[in-house]
Amino acid sequence: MNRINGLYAAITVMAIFTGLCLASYFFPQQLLTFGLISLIPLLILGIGLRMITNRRIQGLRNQLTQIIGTLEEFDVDEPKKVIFDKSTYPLFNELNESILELIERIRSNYQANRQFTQNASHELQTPLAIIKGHGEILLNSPNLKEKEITALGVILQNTNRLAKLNHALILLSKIENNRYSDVETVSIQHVISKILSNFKDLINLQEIKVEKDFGKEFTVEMSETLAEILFANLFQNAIRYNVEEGFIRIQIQERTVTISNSGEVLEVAPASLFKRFKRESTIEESLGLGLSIVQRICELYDIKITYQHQHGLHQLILVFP
Amino acid sequence: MKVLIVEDEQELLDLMLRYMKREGYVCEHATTFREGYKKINNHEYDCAIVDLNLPGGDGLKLIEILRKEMSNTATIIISARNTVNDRINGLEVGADDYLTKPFNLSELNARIKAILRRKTNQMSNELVFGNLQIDLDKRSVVANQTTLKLTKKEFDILVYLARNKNRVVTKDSIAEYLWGDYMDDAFSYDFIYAHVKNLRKKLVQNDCGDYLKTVYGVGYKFISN
Repeated sequence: MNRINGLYAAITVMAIFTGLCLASYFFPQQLLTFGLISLIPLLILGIGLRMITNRRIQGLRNQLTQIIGTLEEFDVDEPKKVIFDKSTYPLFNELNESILELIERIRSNYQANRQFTQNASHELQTPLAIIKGHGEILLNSPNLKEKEITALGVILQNTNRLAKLNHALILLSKIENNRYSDVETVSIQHVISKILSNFKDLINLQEIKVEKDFGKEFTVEMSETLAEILFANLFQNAIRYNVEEGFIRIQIQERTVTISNSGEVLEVAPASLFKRFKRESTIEESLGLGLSIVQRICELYDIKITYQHQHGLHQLILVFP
Repeated sequence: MKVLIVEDEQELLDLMLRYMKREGYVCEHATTFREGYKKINNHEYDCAIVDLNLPGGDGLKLIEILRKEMSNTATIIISARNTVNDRINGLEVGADDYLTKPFNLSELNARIKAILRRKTNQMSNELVFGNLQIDLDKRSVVANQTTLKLTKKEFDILVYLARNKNRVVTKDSIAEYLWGDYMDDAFSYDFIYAHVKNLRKKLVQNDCGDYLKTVYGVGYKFISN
């Protein structure tokens, strides 16, 4: 009977021990609430085991932190080679190798993309310049009939459109490739004033009234060129989709810029406005890329941009971080 | 006037040569960096038009050399590179102007004339056509002894057309000349139309209306014999 009792006790102890080990591994908190003080020796054993596992986990964690640190330092723009320390865990070495392969692929894709931007700009601009030049010279040859002159005019006009479209696409791809990293402290009021004065002629021509409520001056850390492109695009739209003798209202409060303008109701859904090549169909010749460029710039600097149509007004609201 | 054109794209080079020769310039050309380098070392030019991407080297170097050695040559960069930095670099090195491809030949022509005028300190800074005088320094226009009141843009358009006299100048090229890349086409056409209309009205009032001719759907032409 004693023996059986002894065996029973041993099994119980082993069960508790296993349970403890498992519990200590998975539920360290619960273990303490159990409060099985009578089993102190086992507890010590359990804790001992846990410490060993902990140390192992700590080791794993350190190496993982190192890998993350190396990855955080990685800049696709810099040619610096990414180097991982050799790990004591073969699995980590495998992981590092696949990361290195991935980085190589990202780099070469990035380079290819960048190369394309440059090539597209160079390779397309030259033929366009040649077409334009021939057109111009032809336009001035003697004895042209009116029909021929008109046809030449159409060719030249569309070549020009192509050239502008090409410029816009290259600009988009440059923004996407982060080629505008020259961050400065830019005063938004200053940029808006500058752009407005550039468009003064057009605004006067359409007899548009400009109302300004500039509030307190605020600055943003961004590329000045992109800031100008951003507002030039927005104001161009505000003028283009305006009506004669209409108005443009610019309100600045804290870090929020609201540009409202009079104009007819849009036929396209507001959400699709920011998609490439979407445009309000009633006006020909627009490139349909302006708002995509606006959106990219906003994404780059975490500027929240929304469009709404309220009380017959087009409103674009920009919230700067 | 002696002009050197350094451009590796043969077609574009031919076009520029044709256009410049018709303007009465003596033209020479080079298609590589080395050729260009030799030419500027051995000859003197009033104006050099230089592409940046050249086989064998960067056109910027040529501008730099010209600046160092003969400060009197007017230089214009023509390039497909179109960032603000490229422009700034080009002008910092000492180029007098920077044109982005694809440019209009009429614009290149007008800019060459503007630079040459600045550089050569010509006795008179006037463009004179019969009874019409355009003073480029004072930015004033006299038609039949009457000084016209022109807006800045009207004056610029008139000068641009006059510099390209007897040639059809397209609306696009006027738009680019006046506003650079900021402006979209459809828009600027109305605007140019409005300005030319006003300009012509002022000329007609003083019996100078025959100078401006509209080439329907295409652009305008300044007529002078």
